[in-house]
Amino acid sequence: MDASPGSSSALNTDDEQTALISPTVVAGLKNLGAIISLPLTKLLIANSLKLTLHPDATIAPVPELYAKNAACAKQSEYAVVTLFALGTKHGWDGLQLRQQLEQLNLDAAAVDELSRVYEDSRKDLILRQLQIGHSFPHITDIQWRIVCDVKSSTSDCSTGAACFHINLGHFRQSSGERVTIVEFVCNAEELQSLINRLKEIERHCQQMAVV
Amino acid sequence: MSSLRLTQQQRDHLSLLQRPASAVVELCKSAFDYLINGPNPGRYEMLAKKSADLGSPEAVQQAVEALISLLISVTTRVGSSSVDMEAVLRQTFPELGDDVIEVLEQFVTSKRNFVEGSIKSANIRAYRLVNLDWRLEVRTASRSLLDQCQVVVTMKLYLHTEPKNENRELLAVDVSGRSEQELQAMQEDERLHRKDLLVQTDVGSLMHMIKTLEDALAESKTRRIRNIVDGIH
Repeated sequence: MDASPGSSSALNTDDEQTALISPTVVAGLKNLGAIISLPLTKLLIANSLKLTLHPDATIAPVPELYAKNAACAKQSEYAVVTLFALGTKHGWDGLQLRQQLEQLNLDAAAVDELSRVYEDSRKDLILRQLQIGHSFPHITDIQWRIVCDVKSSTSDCSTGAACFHINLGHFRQSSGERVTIVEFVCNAEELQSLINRLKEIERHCQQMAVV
Repeated sequence: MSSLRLTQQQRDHLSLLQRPASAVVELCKSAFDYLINGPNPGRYEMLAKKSADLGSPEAVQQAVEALISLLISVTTRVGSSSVDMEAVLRQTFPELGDDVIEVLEQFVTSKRNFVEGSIKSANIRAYRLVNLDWRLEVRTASRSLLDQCQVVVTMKLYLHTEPKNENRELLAVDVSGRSEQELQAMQEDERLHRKDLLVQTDVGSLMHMIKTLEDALAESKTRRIRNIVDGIH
């Protein structure tokens, strides 16, 4: 793999940031607008972005992308995804990304396209990367049902009180499918005390916002 | 209301009730003690020695356990408190005298509430929320995004399957001064019946949760739901 462009940039003032981009990525980016034609470059960048934002999405097959130089195309896809991920991670704006790319002596049209797509999708990329990594199950939805028993295997008569089945869950970002995190039951007093507890948290959040 | 259905073995064990009411009171007291503290062989031995016609300490223990079984049967089969308990007991034990029946009636009515909650919800034990700890956090950086500011509420939900409040309190006992065996039994109980879960949410979702739960509580207080619950009971 050609590693020389990366090493020459070590003398630049932005050497620390440019060093974030590995020689493999630089080589992949150099293919754009060169070995891979400009129309295909645009397609490749769009597909890479789509894969980054929606990993489960089905992407229409583009045979011509891999017909010649399939290995180069794969490496370029990897390079585009990595470039966008690094830019988002370090909070670069479109201009900063362009400056980084210009130091790498890439094809000018490819740099334009990469900068444009990055700038247009920056918010989505940030939202995507907020979800990556470890966190506790995040509750965004709550379901309830009220149940009253009539008769059971251990008792011929009802307990005479309604109870609440509470289900906490969230929706999968990609498919919209609902996932249960936890389910529990409580009676009216226990539910009231849960509501009071949650209101206490809300009150503290508001106090912090004022401070 | 018909008589209670008891097995022949239960009836055999309860044959010790055919004695003066004062002696039956002693057996009922031992049954109270059993409910709270578990079996007490020393006490049964003492009772057996005190009155020779009670038989062996084992027979006394069997009678005490049969009394608890009777208490469970009454709680399970007799729904409403308006039912004439004395009539039910008289039909079940035609051979017992009035004074003994009176003692038995007092025994089952006074301790019914003690076992009621456990029996009626014992069959399918779903997790109940016992406690909730919370912490307000701000996530300032992560590996994939170095510069961020995200307000997160982290909560720890303490859940377990014990249906009765009183029993749940008993579970939160002091562990100091307990034997290795007792601690092991408690750990086993914890493994089987308890679950602590760490979850998080954001402020917007928290407000949504409060609103939704308040809706549920308000719905349960409507006349429609009250009528249905009263009708079933």
